[in-house]
Amino acid sequence: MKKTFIIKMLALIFVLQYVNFAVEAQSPKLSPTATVTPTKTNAPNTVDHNVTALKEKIADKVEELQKKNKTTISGTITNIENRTITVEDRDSKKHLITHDDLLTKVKTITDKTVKDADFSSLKKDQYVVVTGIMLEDVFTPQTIFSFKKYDVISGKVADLNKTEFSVDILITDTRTITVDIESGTKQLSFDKASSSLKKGGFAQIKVGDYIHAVYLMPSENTFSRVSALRTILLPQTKEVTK
Amino acid sequence: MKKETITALVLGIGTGAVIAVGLLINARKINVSQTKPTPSVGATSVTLPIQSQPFVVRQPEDKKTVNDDELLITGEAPVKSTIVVQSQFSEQTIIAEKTTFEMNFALQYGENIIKVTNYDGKNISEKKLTVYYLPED
Repeated sequence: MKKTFIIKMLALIFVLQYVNFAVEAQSPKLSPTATVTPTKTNAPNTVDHNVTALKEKIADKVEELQKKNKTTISGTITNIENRTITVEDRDSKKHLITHDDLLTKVKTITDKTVKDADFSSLKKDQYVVVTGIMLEDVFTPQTIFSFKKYDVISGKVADLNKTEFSVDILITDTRTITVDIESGTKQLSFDKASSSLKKGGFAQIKVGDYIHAVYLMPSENTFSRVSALRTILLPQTKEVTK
Repeated sequence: MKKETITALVLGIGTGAVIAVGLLINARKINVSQTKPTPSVGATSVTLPIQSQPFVVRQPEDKKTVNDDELLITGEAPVKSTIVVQSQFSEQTIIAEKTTFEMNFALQYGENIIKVTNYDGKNISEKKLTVYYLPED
């Protein structure tokens, strides 16, 4: 008898709870006009203002992310397949760069001028500088610049060839590079007395001096002779070595 | 008193005494090790060789992209040593007046390969940097 009564009471409580929930769930639908009406005239302005503010916030965030994740890669094109180029950087690391017709521009840098170019102008063995956004290891290229590959070396003058106007530079303990001094090579010599660079010449170079040279990298990986674009000579005297 | 009660009491007191003695000995050991005199560092004089200021390039970081055609290079170098900076477009040399140095170096559009070399007597140190000057991009 008692048990039956308890079960009945529980069932009644459950039903009452359900009814209460159903009424609460429906109640917002019943009174929307009362709350919306007073703000009717201001609502579009507020919404527009909020949308504009949100757009500005998103734009700022995108700009911030672009700045933060802006990456520049440079290297030699080792492969071109469809719209994807493989670029091998100076550390022999390979980067796959997919050209996007809408997002990626191609340009050529020659001396101080930058010109627009097409993706089709890119060739294997060409040196490129690529800017883009790196997000979670996915690189989106913005501009692919075709560029010349330069390098700077320095070392002790190991030998001189006065007939060929070339200098053998010991760049490491085991590697020597022959540098041709051309008529167009900009030659400078360091004068410690005035602490300045002065115009130099091939005749000033002596075995044992230190020399710095800039050259255009040959396309082949193993090379032993280059043509100097500019040099700096540091005469091996008491002036240079304390 | 029952025999069992007496045995329990004896065992309890005995165990407590053993633990107390153990704790006392341990505490004394810790005190002894803490009061042991440590050898004084200044007691013996050690003559160290005078280290020359190492050559360090602090700024810029490698593979940096900049919007200005003038680059500030800063670092540390031995006093009176010669610093040679050369890129494919420009070159500059200075003699370090202090243990720190700084110079403005001209950049050109694109990739600038910059070699910074320090000559300090027979010691030659160098650092190669890649700096991208891409103002429009």
